[in-house]
Amino acid sequence: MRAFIIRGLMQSLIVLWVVLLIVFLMLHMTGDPADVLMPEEATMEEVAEFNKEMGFDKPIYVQYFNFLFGHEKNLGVLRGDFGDSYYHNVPAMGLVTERIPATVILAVVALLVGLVIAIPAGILSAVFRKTWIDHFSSVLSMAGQSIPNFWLGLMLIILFSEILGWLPTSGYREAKSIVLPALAAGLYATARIMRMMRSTLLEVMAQDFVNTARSKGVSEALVIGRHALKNAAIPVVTIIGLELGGLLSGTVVIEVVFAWPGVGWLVVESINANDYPVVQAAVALLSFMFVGVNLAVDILYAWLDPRISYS
Amino acid sequence: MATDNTINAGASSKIDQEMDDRGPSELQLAWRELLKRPPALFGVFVIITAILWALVPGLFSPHDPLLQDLERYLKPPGFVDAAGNTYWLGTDQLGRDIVSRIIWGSRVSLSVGFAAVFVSGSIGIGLGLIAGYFGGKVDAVISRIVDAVLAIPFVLLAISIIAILGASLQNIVLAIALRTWTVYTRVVRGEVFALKESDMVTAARASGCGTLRIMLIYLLPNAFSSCIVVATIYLGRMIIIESSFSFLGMGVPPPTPTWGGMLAEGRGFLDTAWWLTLFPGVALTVTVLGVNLLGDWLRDVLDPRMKRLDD
Repeated sequence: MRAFIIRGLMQSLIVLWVVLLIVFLMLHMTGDPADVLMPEEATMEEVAEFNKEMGFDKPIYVQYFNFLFGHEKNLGVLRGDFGDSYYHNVPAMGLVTERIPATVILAVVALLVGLVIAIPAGILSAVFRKTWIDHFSSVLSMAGQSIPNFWLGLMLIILFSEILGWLPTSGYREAKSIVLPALAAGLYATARIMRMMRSTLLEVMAQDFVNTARSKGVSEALVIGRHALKNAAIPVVTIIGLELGGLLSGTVVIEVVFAWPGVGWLVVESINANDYPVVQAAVALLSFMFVGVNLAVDILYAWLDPRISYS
Repeated sequence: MATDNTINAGASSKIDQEMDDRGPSELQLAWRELLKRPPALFGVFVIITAILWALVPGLFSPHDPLLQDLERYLKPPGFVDAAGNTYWLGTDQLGRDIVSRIIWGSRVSLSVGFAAVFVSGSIGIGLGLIAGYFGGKVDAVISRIVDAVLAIPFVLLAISIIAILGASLQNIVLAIALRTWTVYTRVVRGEVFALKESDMVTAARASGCGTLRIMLIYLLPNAFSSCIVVATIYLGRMIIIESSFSFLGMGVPPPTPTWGGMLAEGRGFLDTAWWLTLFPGVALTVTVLGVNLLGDWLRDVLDPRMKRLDD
């Protein structure tokens, strides 16, 4: 088990290194960072001055070294310093960490809403396979995978905020303002978890030990509750973990629709303001969380299922 | 890719000729199968309509999608102007006809969708063939790259890249393909692993076939049906991703009509003009739904292994 965890950690570190490399190269993708950062009407002298000030005139490997380990006042990204925001003139990392709680709350609530719908619906459609319950939930899951979540968000605003006036269109302060963004953000995860719950449960219920239990006279409720569900839990737990990772970094558009003050909205604002230190810090930090959640899921999976070999 | 297609097309037309003497061709059989499944038939209808819209929008569009007229801004569906023109789905904040903009908007959605599928498919299938055929270290390296790419928060990275490189059709496709090739690599790698020890491949090798020939003529066609299924399922997702980029202002820039862009413009009028956001979203959802329904059917027909207990 320890070797398994160490190997997972090593792999995660490599992934994070790749992410940091991409984040570093971001500004160099057009060939010249000044293209991206300076206004078009800047003179040659201004560009040269800017490049010198930012260190863009140095060889690229020196820039990369400085980016990782810092130089002069900058501590380097390995110590969490992505430089100051061009726009707000405060450390970029601080701006991002301020927004993390909102994103995490939205992702967790969206996942909880999804689970409350998806788990019972998945179980019911497996148990009542090929009845109207099953057909109805498969229509729901098909819809969930076809409706773009941000459009659903807009429609929810029109219905519940503009027409019925029950819920606020945006904001963060009241508890009820999370209802609409969570519903919209959780849509896709709900559909996927529902499908997974159903197909895993069907697979387990076709196995011998379930038949054995049935033939021993165990009641159907107990067969499903005790024997089948326990064994269906592992893949479902895995996909729940993966969906959480996806939600943490994937609610960008929903945050914009509902003016939800999370990292995604910050990134869109910063891109529009050409504020790249903030964008770099946000992509790096969210990757860090995303990789962390994935690693935790892997370990949890290995721990839940004794058949997984750790070697 | 192009050469494989011509090889396949050549081979299948020969088969078609032979089949004519023997009974219904595969295409005829597929059509009969399709008639048995109304949702998939609906999907085919939707996709053909959307493709026609995208190819010759001028034939279907009742008005000029770019023609502004502030005399008729924000008119509700069914509005008839002084000259007797009807605006079936109303007009937007600049007086442009919504029906026409939806029809022209299919261009961007479909071209990004198909191009992204083609680019990611080409890269992914190629790497999958290599990883599966050579195995060992080559496979290990490719598989680790796939793992790393999958662990990077995709949406954030993609919008940052588009923001830096500039929003053009080409860059959007590139940003999307950066991630989605991995799916094809995984599928093809698995198929090739299973096939490469088969008698067919051994016989081909014994009769002196080169590596490339074995890959293209023996392995690729056998992995192709899974790829078609994956491509169809991902086409829907690509279309949603493109629309969310357009919604965030990172898509093909205005005045080119895009469904996501129309939703972004309509967002400012949720309280007064619901038709601005309802109709483009319906077009988007119905298109994706059509693609998904067709994908579900293709999966059942072409790839029974992927079906498992899903139906």
